Amino acid sequence: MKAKVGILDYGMGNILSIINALNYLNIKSEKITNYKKIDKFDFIILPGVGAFGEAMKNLKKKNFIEPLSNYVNNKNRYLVGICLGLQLIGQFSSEISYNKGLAFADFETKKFTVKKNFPIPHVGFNKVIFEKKNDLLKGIDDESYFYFTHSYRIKYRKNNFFLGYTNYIENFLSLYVKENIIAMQFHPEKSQINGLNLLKNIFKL
Amino acid sequence: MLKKRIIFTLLFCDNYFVLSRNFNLQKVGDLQWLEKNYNFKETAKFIDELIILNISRKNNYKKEFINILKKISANVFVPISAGGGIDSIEMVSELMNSGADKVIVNSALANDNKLISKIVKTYGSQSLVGSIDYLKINNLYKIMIANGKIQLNTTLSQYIEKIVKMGVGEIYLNSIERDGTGQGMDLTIINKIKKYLNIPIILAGGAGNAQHFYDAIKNNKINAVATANLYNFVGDGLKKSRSILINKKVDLPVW
Repeated sequence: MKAKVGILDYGMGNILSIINALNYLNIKSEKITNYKKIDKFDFIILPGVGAFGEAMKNLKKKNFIEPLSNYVNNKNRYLVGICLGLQLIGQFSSEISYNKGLAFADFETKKFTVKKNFPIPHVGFNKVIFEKKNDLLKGIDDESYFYFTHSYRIKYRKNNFFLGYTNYIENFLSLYVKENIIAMQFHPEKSQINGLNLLKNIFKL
Repeated sequence: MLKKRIIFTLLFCDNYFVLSRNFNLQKVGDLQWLEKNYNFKETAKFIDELIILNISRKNNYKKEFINILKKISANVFVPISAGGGIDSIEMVSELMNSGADKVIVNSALANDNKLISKIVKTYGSQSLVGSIDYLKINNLYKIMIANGKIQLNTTLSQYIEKIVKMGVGEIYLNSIERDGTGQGMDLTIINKIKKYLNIPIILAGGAGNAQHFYDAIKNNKINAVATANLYNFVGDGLKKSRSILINKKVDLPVW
């Protein structure tokens, strides 16, 4: 049976870009606009281009939060967070004001430390250093370039689930993998061949 | 370390792609023409970002522009910024739902503070590129809006300070005098403004070859260079420029 891939549509994000990348890889996907549908999927992508507080507000408004927690508790199904989607699974973010997250993962999002000659947002391709081997990284070098665009970050620390980090002003988390949760700060759908390879590996799981 | 970027800008006007020279436009072709002469799917593998601007003059050609954006984004896996005539948050959403990852605004920066703050609140600063078209008049930098037709009564530094405060995430600086000339980029402006900013700068206008990119991008305050010059970079021009820059040790990502 083919895995069912859904993209959570909560009104924020470059959903079409993700659909385009999946189409290119011959992976069928559909938008999830109703919380009742969440249970039907094997993979759910949590996208995000936008502000953290606004995103949580929208997730709440669409009644996505509880069904999503139930979904994640079933370890046979995967949740894939992209950019803001990584930050949202954490405990909280201090973007604009303090906002609680989905709390699926034990980290928090804060603003980059300010440093002269390091413009914020952090925009462009930057190196991701993968510290641990993982099937997801097949065909991708231990140090590879991916596209980022964000002003807030999760501080990197040694941790079994922190698979990759990137340096900009400081080391920050760029790939998180814990059981059925895979989340990344960069945009794989906007990272040329490296990103397409990573997506291909994820949906082969 | 964060990499530098080469950006290609497509100008869409009255249902055609155009070449701009000092903001005078010349029709070059439609999407089919673009595919034929650029093999755009292939070209897009050698750029770091794509900007698509709707600068239609006769009519807004909004529907056609959205359609073009959807078609191009289906095969381009780098970030896409879209803009031109953005005057509402609904229009921003439509662009973002049609393949854009960021929006680029120009006149609204001067005219519509409310819209700018709405964009920042909804999509975040990283999704908003502020575009500035400028002219040098008597050695003073003058800001022009509305397709270069209206001059603002503010200094460049004041304006930049203002838009950074409003939450613009990047600035696209375009020299109207250099625009489309292929004679080289304006390297003086960055020194005038560098103390006002701590956000990424995209320099545009005047690039005609790889050396012009190089002269600009080696400045540590310039994060990206952009060209809209369809003729000078026709065929595999961008691919060649990229490899020349990489050979010259410009810090570009390698795939």
